[in-house]
Amino acid sequence: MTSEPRHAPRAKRAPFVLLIVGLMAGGMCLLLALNTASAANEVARHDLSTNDQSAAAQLVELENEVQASAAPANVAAAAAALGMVPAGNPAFLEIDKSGKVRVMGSAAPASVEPVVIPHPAPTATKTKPAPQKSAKKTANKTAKATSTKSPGKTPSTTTGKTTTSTGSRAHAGAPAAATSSTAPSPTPTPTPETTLPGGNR
Amino acid sequence: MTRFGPPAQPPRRRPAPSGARSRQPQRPAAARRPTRPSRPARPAARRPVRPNRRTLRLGAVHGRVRFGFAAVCTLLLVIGGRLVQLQGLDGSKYAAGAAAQRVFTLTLHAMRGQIVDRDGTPLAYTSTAQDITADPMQIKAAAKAQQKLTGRDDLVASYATKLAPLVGMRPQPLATLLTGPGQYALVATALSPVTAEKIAALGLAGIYSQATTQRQYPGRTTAANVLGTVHADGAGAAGIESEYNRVLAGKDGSVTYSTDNMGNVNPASSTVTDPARNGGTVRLTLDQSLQYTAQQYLDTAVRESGARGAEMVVLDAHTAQVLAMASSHTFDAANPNTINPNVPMNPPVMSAFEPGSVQKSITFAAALQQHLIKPNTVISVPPTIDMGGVTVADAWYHPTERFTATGVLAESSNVGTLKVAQELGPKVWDWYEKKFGVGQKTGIELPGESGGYLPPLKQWSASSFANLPFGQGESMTVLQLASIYQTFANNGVRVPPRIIQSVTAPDGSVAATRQPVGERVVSAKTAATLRTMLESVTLPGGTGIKAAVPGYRVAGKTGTAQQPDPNHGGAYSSWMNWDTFAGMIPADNPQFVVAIMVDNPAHGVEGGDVAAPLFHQIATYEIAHAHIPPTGSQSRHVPLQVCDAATRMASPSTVC
Repeated sequence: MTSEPRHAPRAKRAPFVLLIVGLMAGGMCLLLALNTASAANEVARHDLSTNDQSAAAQLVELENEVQASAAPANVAAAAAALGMVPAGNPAFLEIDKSGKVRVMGSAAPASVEPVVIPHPAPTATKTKPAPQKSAKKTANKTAKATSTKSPGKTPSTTTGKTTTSTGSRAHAGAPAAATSSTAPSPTPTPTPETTLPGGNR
Repeated sequence: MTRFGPPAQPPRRRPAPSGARSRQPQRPAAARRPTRPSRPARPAARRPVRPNRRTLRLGAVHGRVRFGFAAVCTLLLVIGGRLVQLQGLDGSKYAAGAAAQRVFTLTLHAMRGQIVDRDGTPLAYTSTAQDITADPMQIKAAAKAQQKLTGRDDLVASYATKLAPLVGMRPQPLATLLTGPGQYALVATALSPVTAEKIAALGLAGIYSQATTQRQYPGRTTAANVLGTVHADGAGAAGIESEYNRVLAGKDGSVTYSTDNMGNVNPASSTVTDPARNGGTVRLTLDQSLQYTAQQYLDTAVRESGARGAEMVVLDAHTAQVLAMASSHTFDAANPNTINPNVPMNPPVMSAFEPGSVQKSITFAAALQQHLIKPNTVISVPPTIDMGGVTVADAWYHPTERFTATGVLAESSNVGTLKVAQELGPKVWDWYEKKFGVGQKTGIELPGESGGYLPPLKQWSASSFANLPFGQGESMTVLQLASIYQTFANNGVRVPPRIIQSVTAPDGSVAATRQPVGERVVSAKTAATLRTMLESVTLPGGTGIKAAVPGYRVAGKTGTAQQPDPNHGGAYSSWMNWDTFAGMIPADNPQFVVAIMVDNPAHGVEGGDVAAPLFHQIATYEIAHAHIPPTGSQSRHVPLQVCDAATRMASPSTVC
């Protein structure tokens, strides 16, 4: 009477214990796996967030750089470094319906009158624009002055190559008319513009 | 008290107040068994007592229960009372104290809004940045620890050499800063985030970075006089930054969260976030390129003419929107140290000057409107004229000559102008001056506007009317001067100039500035006639020929006003001048209006010498920039003088 009820639970107990042990072991393994995965994710998240931060930092830096280099002063300095000069009197072509073209205004090649002052580069420290003295020299002289001065003032934009082309291009673009009308004078009074820059053509 | 004490003997008597009960019941004692130290003694004591106890039990138990009940109730009452006191009465205080220990609130800073030009190009914006701070105490401790460990004493020096190039300081002062007193030192402000990252990558103990924002002015000096600048805390200090601070500043938000005792954020707690509302965008009517060019031309002109300064305003002819408002040698908005405290920050609206002949055009517009003159009305102009006891002469000597009204204006004859003004009379003249806005603020959206000065008619002295018609004895800003010429350009309707195009709220809703209602001052015909007269100024024979733009019809007027000399009791100086020019292009269909003032040039003493070439420069730039073709029409020729044969031979063809 006592042996039977004792044997029956004993026979059933082993798989139950095994089951429990198995469940516990499985649970532990699962927990370990979950923990590992979570830790791995955390590491990945940390890496990504660091990347994100540095990308955001670079974005801010680049945006500032773009804005600074798009500022008119820096565009003007870059243009001057490429040998570009401000246009003189504009002329317009008016094309009527019959296809006839009429020139409006008086076209003239650009004279190198107000050479734009190289401005501090975007990354440079806060300084006022350096005084620029060459505006009233002849075209030839101005171009030379630009080519010799601008490398020092705009270290980031100017290279030796472009400035040499500056000299020749400005010289070729502003022919005798500009040289004769803006002869170097001791008084720095602005040159009269009664004779039109480049003459009437 | 004694009831809860350790019992001395198993069959003990309770020292109860009701000493009547003879025997102590054993059961309650048995319930306290675990506390009893002497176990073996119990069985012996229990048995002999049991039979006797039954008779006494009921009464005794009853008393004990009552007593116990009362005791427990009292205790509960005390506890309950204390609970009510803690939770109910002082509850909020403790809750607040607890919250203070675990709930934290962070301010979310609103980003300041942008100021953009008419095309949307940012003139001022805010970017994120990092402040670098140091804890000198921590650094000193680290240095000491390193010295103990390795025997070297170069930690601070190595910090300084590593940090110096990144924060833009020399190592020596930086080392002093890092070892200063206290626990806080500000090493660098508003470094770019990339630089801050490089500093963080160095892994220096005791060096921290702190998020902040930096106001950026990419154009630096471009439009700085209009934009103004901000204080170190980011609040607007001057110009648009100050005038529109409420729009630009936005509203700071906050985030509230709770933490555990280690400072970790409790993810289950409710996080209350009040998002920061970024500032709105202010769109100006300025054209950034034109503004920059105007400033460059002014700077160059001032340098070359040896002037004290120069100002320029460019207005759209019809809407009176300010396209450029420039002054020479303005400050760098990004660097408030460059602000000169001795000059106004925005002279084109803040400083008034005597306009001189440039405002003779008002006298002529009034005379045209009153049908007193026509462009070719002949006026006999003597060398001098006496008015109110003052003898006024022209800027150049001439015998009595016969000018047309156009000639008086084109050659800027004071005597001829006074003769026209005399026909108008002071009252009518004063009425037109006021209609043109002289002596009144324009109401532009900029701080510190000066309204200029027009002496009230009642306060005129006998000689006032000998000066006023050619622009002496009254003052105006260069913006007001531009506004007068805008009236001529806009066919006689004066529109108050405006510089704000629209304000965009943080939620994206755009509030465009309402176009101010114009006021008709003179008829369209008068304005058109005056423009043809003003054209003669820029044609050969006129004073402003240097303003001419080949291929275009230009209307304008020069001015040369004498400045009061403080060294001579405020008497008009013979060598200090305000040189002015105001004009428009194209004359027969004006697109924009330019007003220029050059303050006391050393070379080129007349408005036609310094200010007129500036007009030529800026007009040439703007017609190309804004693609304004010539109208194709020819100016109508009005002779300036009634010439004899000799003058006809000697003068340019437009004079006669």
